[in-house]
Amino acid sequence: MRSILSARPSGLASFTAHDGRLLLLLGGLVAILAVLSMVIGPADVPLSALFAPGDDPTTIIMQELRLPRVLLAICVGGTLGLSGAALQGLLRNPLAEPGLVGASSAAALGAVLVLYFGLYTAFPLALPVAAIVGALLAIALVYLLAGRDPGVLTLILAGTAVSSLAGSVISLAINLSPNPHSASEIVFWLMGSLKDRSLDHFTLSLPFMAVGAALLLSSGRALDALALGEDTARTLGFSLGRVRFFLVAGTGLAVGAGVAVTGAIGFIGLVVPHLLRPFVGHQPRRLLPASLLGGMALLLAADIGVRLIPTQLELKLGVLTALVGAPFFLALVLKTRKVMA
Amino acid sequence: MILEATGLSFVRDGATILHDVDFRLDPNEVVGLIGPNGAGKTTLLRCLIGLARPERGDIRLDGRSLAEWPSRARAGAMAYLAQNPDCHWPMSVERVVALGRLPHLDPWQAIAPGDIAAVERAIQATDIGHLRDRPVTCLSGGERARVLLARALAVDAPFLFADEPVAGLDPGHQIQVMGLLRRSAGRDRAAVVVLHDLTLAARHCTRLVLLAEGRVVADGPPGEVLTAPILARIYGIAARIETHDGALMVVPEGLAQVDA
Repeated sequence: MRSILSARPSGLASFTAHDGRLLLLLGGLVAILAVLSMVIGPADVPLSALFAPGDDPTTIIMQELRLPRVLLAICVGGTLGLSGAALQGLLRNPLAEPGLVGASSAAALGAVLVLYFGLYTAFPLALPVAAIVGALLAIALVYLLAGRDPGVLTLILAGTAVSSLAGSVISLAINLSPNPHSASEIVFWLMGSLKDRSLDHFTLSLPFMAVGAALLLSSGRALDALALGEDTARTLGFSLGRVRFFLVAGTGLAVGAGVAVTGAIGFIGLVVPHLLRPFVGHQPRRLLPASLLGGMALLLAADIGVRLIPTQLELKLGVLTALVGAPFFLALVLKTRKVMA
Repeated sequence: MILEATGLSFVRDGATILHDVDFRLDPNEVVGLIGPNGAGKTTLLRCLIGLARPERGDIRLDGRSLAEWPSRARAGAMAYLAQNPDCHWPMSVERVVALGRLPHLDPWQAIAPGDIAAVERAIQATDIGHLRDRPVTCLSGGERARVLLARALAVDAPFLFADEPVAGLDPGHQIQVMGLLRRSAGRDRAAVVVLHDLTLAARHCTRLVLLAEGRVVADGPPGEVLTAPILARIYGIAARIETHDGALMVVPEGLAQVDA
């Protein structure tokens, strides 16, 4: 029976009234933070310099230093938030994180090898290219390890195995570094930053992130069905093998390409979906676009934060997100433990 | 629409779970799948719905082999209510019920008035209108069972398959759920229900299929399947079978005496 007491939008309206307002709000937040990020920095440059013709120094600062930084924060933050939301939906666990599929560590390994062998001197984009190749190889290896028609747990364990393998080779590279400078170069790169990236970094990583994001966004309905369990999702017409592949490959592409240009930035994919879930009625599909925008906003804010926090050396972005994210993760574990107990 | 399976065999880890099973489902039927533990009831149900692939045998839905059906069309024709169904996120009741419309939606198509009507019918049939905005994870066991049954009914499929839908429910909710399944059949619809309670099966099913050790040992109206000799042979129980106001009652009284 239709509830008589509550004056709620009836039938169709309540289902089609999507999260327009929330998405608009998040989109507005992204726009404001993007503008702030453009004008905050050591040099005081007005926003109008971005559109000024000619090669005035302020225009160069805007177009070649700050614009790539903002664009990358938007893309990397967005894909981190989106893939976190998608993986949490696939695993039906709010503690899941994009790093689980192994692609981010493998991307980092590709970059570290380029730094170790100094290949970037020969070819400036060698670093992001090697990192993206690393991420692609990781996806292939995860599927090779997991075998035919793998279950989700097998996939995640294979991803963890690939992660630890990549991690151990990264440690080896640092260990065997010929001099302290190259070791610290690797360590600093691994901390993750958006500083001093060029538009080439952006155009190189964008297609991979776009394909990854498209794979993830197209899986929304399947994630909704998975809320009812794997068997029921299959009887609702979804092929689980396809869904898992879309999500693992999508996450690998998006996050791998992100790591390739920024280094490791953790916890965005964990924190954003968790914060937004109550606002979308806990529905996995509706969480995807919201987390995409939320991730953009959070990474933009963090990147403004590292520039505003007065430290002698600029704080690395990955360090800041970890400092804020790790306690959050801890609190989340405690909360989940309470719910499950 | 008719579902017809012939010669189904299913092997798991070298053990044969189903031996050459024939099964047919016609419109307006409520078929109870009964049998002792391990008889293969759930396996048969999973084969019929396409969740398990039989080793041998042929399953035809509407004259067409089940494997040839596009998965979404098949999902719209056969709804499934899992054993101990659950929803992993605290979504609202009406959103959970609306998930039943997924087989009818194209990938980017929004939910349409026809879908809403099906959701509303399912909510009304299961009498959960007063719960519609509550998070499904906060409901009692009986309420949650009704919500997830409504989810299955919202598919509006010609066939509904339910695996022990009354397990863990109190007698009132058991009768309520069985009555709903009974009412959902009819209008050219049919349901298959795995059951353990024989009296409940006798009272609410139009036909019973008794499985034992992976074979169909009896198939017919409840009165023909639930006889003392059959129950003694298959379940090993001595049961009193009574008819009260036209309704069959099975009262197990003890283990059957094994004749030398």
